[in-house]
Amino acid sequence: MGEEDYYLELCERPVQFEKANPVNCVFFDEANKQVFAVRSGGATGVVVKGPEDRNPISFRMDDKGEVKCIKFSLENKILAVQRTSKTVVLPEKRTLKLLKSHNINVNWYMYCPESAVILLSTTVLENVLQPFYFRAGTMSKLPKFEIELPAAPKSTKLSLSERDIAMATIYGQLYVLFLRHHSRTSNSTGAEVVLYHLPREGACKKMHILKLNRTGKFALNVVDNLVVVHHQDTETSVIFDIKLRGEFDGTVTFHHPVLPARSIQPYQIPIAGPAAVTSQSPVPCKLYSSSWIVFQPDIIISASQVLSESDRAALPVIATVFDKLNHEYKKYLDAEQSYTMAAEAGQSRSNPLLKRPVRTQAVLDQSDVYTHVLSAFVEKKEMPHKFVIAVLMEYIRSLNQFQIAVQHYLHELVIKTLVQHNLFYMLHQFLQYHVLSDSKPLACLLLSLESFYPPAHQLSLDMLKRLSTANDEIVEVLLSKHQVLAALRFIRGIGGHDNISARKFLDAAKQTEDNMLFYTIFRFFEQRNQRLRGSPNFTPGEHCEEHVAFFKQVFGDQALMRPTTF
Amino acid sequence: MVSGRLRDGVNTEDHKLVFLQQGPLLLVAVSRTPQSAAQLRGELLAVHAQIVSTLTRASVARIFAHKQNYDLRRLLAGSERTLDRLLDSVEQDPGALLLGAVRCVPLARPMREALGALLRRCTAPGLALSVLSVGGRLVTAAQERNVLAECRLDPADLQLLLDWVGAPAFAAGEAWAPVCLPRFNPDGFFYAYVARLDAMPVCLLLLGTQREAFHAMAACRRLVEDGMRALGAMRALGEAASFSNAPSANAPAYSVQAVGAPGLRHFLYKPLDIPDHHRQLPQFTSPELEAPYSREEERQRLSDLYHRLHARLHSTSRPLRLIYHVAEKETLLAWVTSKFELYTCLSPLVTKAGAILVVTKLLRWVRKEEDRLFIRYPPKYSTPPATSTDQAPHNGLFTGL
Repeated sequence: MGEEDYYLELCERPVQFEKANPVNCVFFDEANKQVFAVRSGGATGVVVKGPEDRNPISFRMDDKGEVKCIKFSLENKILAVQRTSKTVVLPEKRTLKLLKSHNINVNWYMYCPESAVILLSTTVLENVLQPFYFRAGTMSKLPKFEIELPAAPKSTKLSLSERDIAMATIYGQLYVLFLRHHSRTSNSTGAEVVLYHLPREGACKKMHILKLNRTGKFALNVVDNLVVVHHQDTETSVIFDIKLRGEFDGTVTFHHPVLPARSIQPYQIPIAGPAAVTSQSPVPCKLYSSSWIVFQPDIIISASQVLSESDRAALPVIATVFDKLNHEYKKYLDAEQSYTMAAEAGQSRSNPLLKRPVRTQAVLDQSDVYTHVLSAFVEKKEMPHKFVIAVLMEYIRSLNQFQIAVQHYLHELVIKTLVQHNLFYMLHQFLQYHVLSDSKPLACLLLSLESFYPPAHQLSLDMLKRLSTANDEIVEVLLSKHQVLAALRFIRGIGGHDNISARKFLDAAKQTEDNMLFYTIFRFFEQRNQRLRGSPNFTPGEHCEEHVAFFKQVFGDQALMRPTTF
Repeated sequence: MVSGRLRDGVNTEDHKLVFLQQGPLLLVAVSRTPQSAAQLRGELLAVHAQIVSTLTRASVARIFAHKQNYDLRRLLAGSERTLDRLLDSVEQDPGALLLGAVRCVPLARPMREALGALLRRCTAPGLALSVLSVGGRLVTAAQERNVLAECRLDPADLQLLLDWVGAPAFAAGEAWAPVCLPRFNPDGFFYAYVARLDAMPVCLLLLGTQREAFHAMAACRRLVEDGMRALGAMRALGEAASFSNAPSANAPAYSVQAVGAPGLRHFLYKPLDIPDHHRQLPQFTSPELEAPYSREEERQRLSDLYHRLHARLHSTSRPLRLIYHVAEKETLLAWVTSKFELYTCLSPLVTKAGAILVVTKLLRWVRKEEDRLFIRYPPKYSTPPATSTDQAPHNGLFTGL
């Protein structure tokens, strides 16, 4: 498979840590996403690494026994160590205060740090979940709900396993994801992911079902509001987007994968070690291994590695992704426009229901895509430049398809990329066939490229001409190139020759040091004076005295135009 | 002999070489200018004519028959400046050679006719041609009816005479010298009486057939002078001469601004609808070359442009009737019809519509000023009957030295 066949990729800097062994204990704090490697109970050292941290934190602790759990508080201020099953040690005389207590029989729990919600599994079947919400020093109980377990053969004891539950924030809402291995309805095979929506207030409701159409071992991740389901047997992953339309049966929406299943791109782990050993070649990272442990939202821990996912797609896949993005974007733009028109028409007062459309997380406008995606993408050196251009053009194509006006900075990005890679023939074609829309900033960019690609000057002039609002710019460009006659002819062609400043043109003509040209321009304005005022003389307001003197000096007094009488 | 293949000239990277064989003389032109081979040949012919006018063709032939490697320069001493001026005029004032016509001093028709009549009256024995000129331009000429009846006075010959009298030798006072009119009769010559009138650039040229007629010619001249004073012609010609402020001696001309067509910088106009009996004198008119063509380089450039236009119009393979050429420094319009041949130089900013307007105005102006700009009816006179027996045969010329 070539590199264009993957659309999921593990991020580039994995957090590496020493494998767990009798001496080394490894703990993972999913709240801060830190890996703790504790050696000898902390006596010989604790190394803490996180995906964002540049330098690992190292320290020593007194060995007071086996460490059961170790975590930092936010910003690594307070370290909490649990050595026994019941005591937690905090350094430096800090005290804990019991704020609240509840008495519940709990099978297992799951905590979601992003939403500060804890889910407790209760009852024998373990499928009644009681959520609590932590906020500002208080703990509020949310309505409990039941996970529907699949119908099971009588011999097996079915209960809700902790492994089949995940919590994640998707599009700003908290969902509980249940990986159900068999469908409730008898006629469909294959596993499903059931999404229960857990609102801040109100009951939890089953909202979405993601159909996987296969069985086996799965792992779940949520990345960028997309639900990624990894299938171990086929070593592939599928992506779901609950914002897209699915089949609504009255209560629940059924979703199918956005894209065909693909594997995560194989990843090579560079070996970091003592200098003597750096000649070792990178080791391929085993994907979809059984030693994977998945943490939400987007972290997979392999036995000796911690990696996280991000997206990269092949061109047709990218195109599809762009289309879906722009579909949402267009909907938002249209809604905005209707709202604005209605507001201007004064309807908002009469219709209190008319609300400003909310820009959800699904709406990615061009500025976002440009800033966060395309700019960085274009800088990637290992990317073949034709692919880069193709991706940019796909985005523009997609915008055009949805009739969204393309912002000029996108065209500029295309041009700059083309120039960077010396693809001038492509640039010329894009402009010739109006693939890139005309705009003044673009014309100015083309002017600046003249030293790299001389025809860019004419391409720029042509573009300015097509933009019928750019006449002043055209004149300035021509004058700057000492094409005084061309500038004058142009301005005359659009009927503006009576309004231009004689001084400006005479200055430009004088600069060329071409006396014949100066004569021509001077005579032109003398004739204009004659036509407008009945005398060939310049008015004092035109500030041309210097030029009159120069003319007399070069051509003689008698060369001045004599007033014609009619 | 110049072989046929060399007739069209030889082109090198920078130069054009043209060969012309005339009798024992081989003339070569080497040029870097854009003139066509035909135009260069025309210049060589003019040079040859200049030589012939000094020596006659017959004597040249005789000299070289006698001595094949004779150095002709010994006989041409004194004419070098005339030859130089001839070649300079190609660059500075190309109209005459290019158009094969003569330029007149603009003068009111009544005055010119009066002067013509005056010349007709003032005759001398053997007088064949009287020419009155100012600054190298023709005021009027009178031809002896019998002498020149059958043969036209070729404008090239007339131009040659006008140029000839501009030589320093004739700058003041009076002079008596032989001259041959190559196109009229290359083997014979006239005796020319040349005088400056009233310490002015006005020049009177009297061509006669009689060697001893100097005093008669001088008497004739005094008659002309008196007559001119009576007519007030001196003043009129003086005004014409000082019309332009150009410092050159080639003064009498008018300014292009007189046409009143803005955008027009210069032109050459040659009428072609001359009535048959007026064919003796093809003429052209053109204004003084003014700014922006005040400098020699610009004049030369303009002359080259006119040469190019002329060559295109009269190309043997693909002649044209109209050329409109917009360039950086000027716009050119050249036009030949059955009535006229016109070359105009316009501002480069002129539009096509503007150019048409200018040309229309110009043509109208020329039509209006026709009588002033051209000699419409060259006068003829008849000499009194010959008295002495050494009258030559009826064409009045001696041959041989």
